Formats: sequence, C-alpha cells, structure tokens
Amino acid sequence: MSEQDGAATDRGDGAPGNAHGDVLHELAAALMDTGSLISSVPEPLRVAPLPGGERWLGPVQDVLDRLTGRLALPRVEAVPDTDGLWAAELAISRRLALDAPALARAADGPLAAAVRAAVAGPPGEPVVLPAHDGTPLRAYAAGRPGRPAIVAVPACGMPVGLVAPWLRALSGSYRVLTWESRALFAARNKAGLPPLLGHDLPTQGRDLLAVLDGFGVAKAHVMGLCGGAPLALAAAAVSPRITSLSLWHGDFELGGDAPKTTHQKDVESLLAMAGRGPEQAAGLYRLMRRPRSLDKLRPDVAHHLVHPYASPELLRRYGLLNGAIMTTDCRPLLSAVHQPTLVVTSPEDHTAHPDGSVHAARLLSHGALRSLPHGDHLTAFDAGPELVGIAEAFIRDHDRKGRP
Amino acid sequence: MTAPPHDGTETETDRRVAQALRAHTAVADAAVLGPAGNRTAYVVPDPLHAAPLHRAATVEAAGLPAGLEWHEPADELRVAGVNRTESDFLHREIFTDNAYLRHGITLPEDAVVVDVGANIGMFTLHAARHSPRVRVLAVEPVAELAAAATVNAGLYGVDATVLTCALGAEAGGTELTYYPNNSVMSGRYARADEDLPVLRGYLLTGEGGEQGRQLDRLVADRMTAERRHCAVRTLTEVVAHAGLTRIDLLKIDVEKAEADVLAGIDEALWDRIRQIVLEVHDLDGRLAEIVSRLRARGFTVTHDQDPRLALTPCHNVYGRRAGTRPAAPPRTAPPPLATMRALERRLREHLARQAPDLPAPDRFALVPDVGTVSAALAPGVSVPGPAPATPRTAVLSEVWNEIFGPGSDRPDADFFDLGGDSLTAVRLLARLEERLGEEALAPDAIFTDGTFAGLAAAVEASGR
Repeated sequence: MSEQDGAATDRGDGAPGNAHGDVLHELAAALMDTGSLISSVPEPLRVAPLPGGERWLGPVQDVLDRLTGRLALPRVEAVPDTDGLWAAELAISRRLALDAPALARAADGPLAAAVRAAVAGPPGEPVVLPAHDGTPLRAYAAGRPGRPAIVAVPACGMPVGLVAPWLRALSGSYRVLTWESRALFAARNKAGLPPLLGHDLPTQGRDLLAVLDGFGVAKAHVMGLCGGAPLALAAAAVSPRITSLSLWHGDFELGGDAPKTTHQKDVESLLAMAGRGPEQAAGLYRLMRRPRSLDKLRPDVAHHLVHPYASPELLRRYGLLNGAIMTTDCRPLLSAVHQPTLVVTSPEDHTAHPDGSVHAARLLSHGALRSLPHGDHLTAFDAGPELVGIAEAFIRDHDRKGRP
Repeated sequence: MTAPPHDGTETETDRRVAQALRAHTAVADAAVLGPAGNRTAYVVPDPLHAAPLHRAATVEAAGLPAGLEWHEPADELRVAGVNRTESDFLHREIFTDNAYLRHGITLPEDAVVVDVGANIGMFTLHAARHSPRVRVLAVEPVAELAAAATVNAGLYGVDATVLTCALGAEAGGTELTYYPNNSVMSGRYARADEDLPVLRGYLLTGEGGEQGRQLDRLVADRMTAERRHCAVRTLTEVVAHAGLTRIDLLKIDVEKAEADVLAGIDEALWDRIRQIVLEVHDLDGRLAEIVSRLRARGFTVTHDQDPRLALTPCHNVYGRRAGTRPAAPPRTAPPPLATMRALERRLREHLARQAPDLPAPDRFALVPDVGTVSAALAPGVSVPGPAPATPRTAVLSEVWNEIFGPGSDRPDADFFDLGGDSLTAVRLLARLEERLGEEALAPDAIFTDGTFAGLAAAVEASGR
C-alpha cells in the first residue's frame, strides 16, 4: 500500500490516536522544529536515539530517511549513542527524542498524516519575501488574512520555532506575522546562506516593513522579544504603519544609562570577536561546538538557541547582525517612537537586565512599564496564559482607543 | 607555577659538552644551559652541513607564519605545515609512492616546473630532489598553505615563486572551500556532500583503515569547512608574468578544478608544455575527456589510480611529448641533514663517542644564535618552563582570578573544572584581548589544554 493510499483510509494513515501515529507525528513535528538547524549545519549531521535504542538503528534510520525526504530536509544519520556528537547534534537528538523501539514498530507505517500535520503549522512553511535590498527573508503568517495584524519579532538569529508559541496563541484572533533574521537561514536543500547585504539596525528594522509589504498588511502591532525589541523600535521610529508596540524582556543598549548583565556583556564580546572575520568566527565556532556549551541552555529550546552557532560563517554573520542590535544606542529610537508602547520585564530576568526595560519605558513618550514578579528571560518566548492575556489586553485596548 | 630560577651560568661540565658539540660538522655553535634534569643544548646548525635546519632556526626566531608548525614526516625532511597527518600523507604520496614522477615522467637537470595546487610545497621539494637546478612556479590559493610552501622552498634553497591565487579559465575572483583539517581536499568545487564519500572511501582503505564511529568522528572533524575568497588568474598569464619560456612539467592537483586550469592555457603555451601530470576527479566522464584532449594535443597519455584511492573517483593522468629533455642523473649525495630528530640522534652518538664521561643534555633546541639564549638566561632570568612569570602570564593570572576567584591560578587548575563554560571562555578571551591585544589567546586553546599552565604557555606563545 502506498503512503497516499494509506492516507485515504480510516486506519493506518499515521494519524494520532494509535501508537504508530503518535510516534510518527511527534517525530515529524520535531524534525520540522529542528529543520532550520539541520539545514544550516555544513556537515552531515548525526543523531542518537534515547539510551538503549541502538538495537533498532536500522528501522530508526529508515523512518528518518523517509520523513526527512518528505519534509525536504537533509539526511540525518542515526548513530548508536551520543558519544562524539557536537552541540548541535546533541541538541537535535534531545529534541527528536528518538524512541527507537516505538519507531521500529512504526517503521512501515504510512507517513502522510504525520507530514501533513507537521507542515500545517503554525509556523508552517515559510514564504520567501524580498527585503528592500533584495535579501530573501523567510517569513511566516498564521491566522486568517484581514484580521488585525501583529508582527512578532524574535531575537536575532532565532529560528521561527522559538516564537511559534506566540503564533499559536494569537492566531485565533489575529493575523500574526514573523520572519527569520536576514542572511542567517539556509534554504532546506542546503543551498547555502543568502548574501549578507547589510547588517545595521536600520536595515534590519526595514526588514519588518518589507514583511508587512510582502503580506499586504497596511498596519500592525509589533511585539519585540529580547533582541527583537530594538529592531521593533527601529522600525516604529520610521514608520507610522506600526500603530503600537510591546517590548518583552528587551535587550537595550542605553549608553551606560542602565546596567547590563554579565551574560549581555559576554555575548557582546562574543559577537564583536565573531564579527571580526572568518578566522575568529571559526575559532569561536570550535569553542561553541563543545557539548558543554549546552549545559546552561533550556533543553526544550536549545536547538533554537544554538542555531547561530551552526557554522563558522553563520557565527560571523550573527556577530555582525546581532552585534549591531546589541550595540546601537537605543536612546534616539526611544525618543523618536511616539506610538503606544508596553514594556514588559521581570526582576527574575538574569539574561537581559530588567533595568534596561525600566529605563527604556521612561524614555518613551507613550510608554507603560509592566514589571512582572516572576519570569525569566525565556518565558517571554513561551507565550504562557498570563503573558498572552497581557498582550491581548494591551492590543485590544489600543485597538479600541485607536478606532476613528 | 614558575620554574626555579637559574642564573644562566654555564657549568664547567656544560662548557665541555658544548665544546664537544661544536666539534660536530653539523654544529656551528652550541651552549648547554639549565638546571639538572632540564639541561638544554642550544644548537646553532651549521649553514653548510645542516642548511635546512639553520634556515629553520632563523625562520623560527623570526616567527613562523600564523597557523603553521614544524613537521618531520621523514628523517630527511622537515617542513612547515598545517596538519601533521596531512604532511605525513603528502610525503608518502609524493616522496614514498612517487605519485607524480612515474610512467616515464622525468625531470631534467634544470627543470622548469609549474606546481598548481602546491599545498605546502611537498611536490616542489620532491622536484628539487630530482632536478638540482629546478625553477618552480608554485600556485596555491589558500594563504596558510602558500605561506608554508614559501617557507619550505626557502628551507631547501629551491628557486621557487609561490603565487597565492587560484587558476582558472579567466582572471577574476572566486569563493573556495577550505577544510582546515583536510586541506588537500579544499578548492573551488569542494562540496562537503561530494567530498565526504571520497574521504570516507580513502579512510576505509589502506593500512589501518578506520571503522565505525571512529571513522565518523574523523570524517566529521576533517570536513569542517571555511569559505574563503581568492583571486583567479590564468596559467597563460602567470607563466608569461614569471617569464617562463618552457614548462618541463606541469603538475596539477586542484580538487575538481582541473578543467578550469586547462581552460586557461592558450595555444602558444600548450606547445611549450613538455609533460603534464594531473589528478582528475572522474565525475561525469571527465577522465576519458581529459585523456582524449591531451592525446589530441600530441601527448602520450596513461593513467592510474592509487590503490588507497580505489573507493574514490581520483585518478592520476600522465602525459608526455616525444623528445622530452633527458632526465637528470640519479642523485648520489645524501640529502642534507634536515630534521631535528636526525640531528639529535647524530649529536647523541657523537657525544657518546667523543665525550663518554660527560652527561648528555636532556634536550636539544635549535637557535640561530647562542648569544640570544645566553642573554635570555642571564642572572635573574628564569629558564624556559611550563609557565614562566612574565607580564603576559601575570595578566592571565589577574583575569583568571577575577573570573574564578583569588588564588585559583594554580598550574593544574582546569578551566572547565572550575565551572567555566563557553561564555566564560569568551569573557576570558575578551579580557585578555583588552590587555594584550587581539589574538592573545586562540579560542581552541581553552579545550586543547584548559589548565592554567597550558593557557599560560599559549598566551606566552602568542606574544612571540
């Protein structure tokens, strides 16, 4: 029976609800979620099953081959254990969580339903839109066209998967758009990175406007998350099409007016070194390949966080792009933005110093600070019920006030 | 942390050992210094009888170009290279297996050789062994490798010009893929997905073929790639620029770009090429096509494949024209004393014969001038040790203690055991750069030897 035939039957189409369907659905979704990283690693990529799975490597490899083929992803090679894997391979292995015995039982099962569900999104498949300088941008849309629009701006270099919870949470009521940083994401077929034509903050801010143009959206609320916050400010400072903003755990350069965490300073150093040239980037890349570089990363999102470290060239570009975001003085932008802006932070954020957000809110003419008692940096990306409620209330409130 | 101070004074015993060493023809000057257990013979090689070592000591004192280190793939050959395993591989392929000078390919006494894809210049050196008055034009696009080729030609006094560029059908520029751990497969058309099976094929065959996960790890390590930009020139243009009126042997090993190199040869130059050897990657019938083209140009052509490359598409093609100039007579003189290990062996044998009552030094080191060593070891100056207390090491101590706490700079303290992670490593690098300038410490050094003593040695080395 072909997979297509299988998909048309009531049973055996790999749908959830039976054991085979569950494991195949989960694996297809995990492969989609790790697709950006798998596609960006310049060398053949290895993954290991969960401990004890080495006996079923053959069937696991078969399922991986069939799924990566259907999802247009490069081949990944199943190896018996994690011995010798580097950081990206470990992070992907953890996300895939290959349950080898279960996959062996499901090896001959049809994949159509699992593949359909994985690509359905959100975030789904990207739409490639041109930036103003022609750079292809991988953009994503969720929610029905015509609804009020929100653009989610994640931290530089982060795959869409990191911001997908926001797309899922808001797309029931809004048209939610996002995109991945310019020149940092390879096409699925490993065709290589698009050229880096510009990397300063204004250029990256204009990418947001190009996304609006590409989806035919006239105006939008913009959510800037972490390093996405300065970028949102850069766009809002030059375009009235951004009607309001919310800045979540923003990472702001404020010329010494506000402290930065050790993490911010270390990352700034890393970016400055990596952006200096291919040799420096290659040296740092080798450093970041170490499995121990994953030690302090949250396991469920580590595969997103290590994306900019997937190759020396990616790291060099990340140094330039995120370096520009982290070092451009935001004070002139904060003075130039007059749209209503919600600034959210928490004293529990030890990544982006909360005082940066406090100071940024002060400099905004229409800024409101919301300091939550709890929430570390990554909770900004989790789109938990409390944060979603805050976002929807602010957007709804502004939308009502803003109507003629 | 610091080696015990030594007043740099030569003892009577050491003076006698140095005197005995100076009696050897390969030694121009010598001094023996250091405390018991760490007595070092500082040897200035004789510029006539150990010319390559004499030049190596001078190069070393001036500083080897970045990324290069000394390798000794054979008793009679010391080279500057990038990876020891690759220097060994190239030596075996070119010197031991004589991959290029076979099937009737010979070099006259005063050969003109164009070495395209010179890598570290191993074939250039081999050509010089066969042709005493050889003139070589070497072309290599990867800067580190070209620098090594230049150093190596200088070491053996070869009349060579090294051009850092690629050759192609027309002048311009191109991107190339450089595999730092596998430089021999680097090139314009290097593609990890194509090159991987070639490398696996090579590693699976031959003596000690790798297997299983070890093979996977080895392959993954060697396929780490960097993209580089380089200039492209044509062979016709570089030959004209070098003023070469004939080419006795054109050797091409350019990893799938061989057709491009040939396309940059005009009709007049073809007539002046007497012999050609090239590695061909037999993709899409390329081997048959190149053989046919060479035959059409009047070459007698044959080709073969190294048994170790049987699982790869790599073949060597050999073409020669009738009337090739006679080969230089076989060399009768032994090769010059060129390696540290050969020198040390001879000097130990010499001391055992000439001064059996004196204790031999613990180690030998090359220097261009004994005076510099004596000055460095003047009273109050420490002898070389694992972590000398210099201003650079003092800076490392300060930064290290700032990160890990006061007193944490013990020689055996390990960066990662103290809780260091990737970002801490970046902080260490950044602080060192602020104080000591860029490249004060390579990121790799932290996991090559992450102990304080290991990093102190690396910080010292970067300041030389």
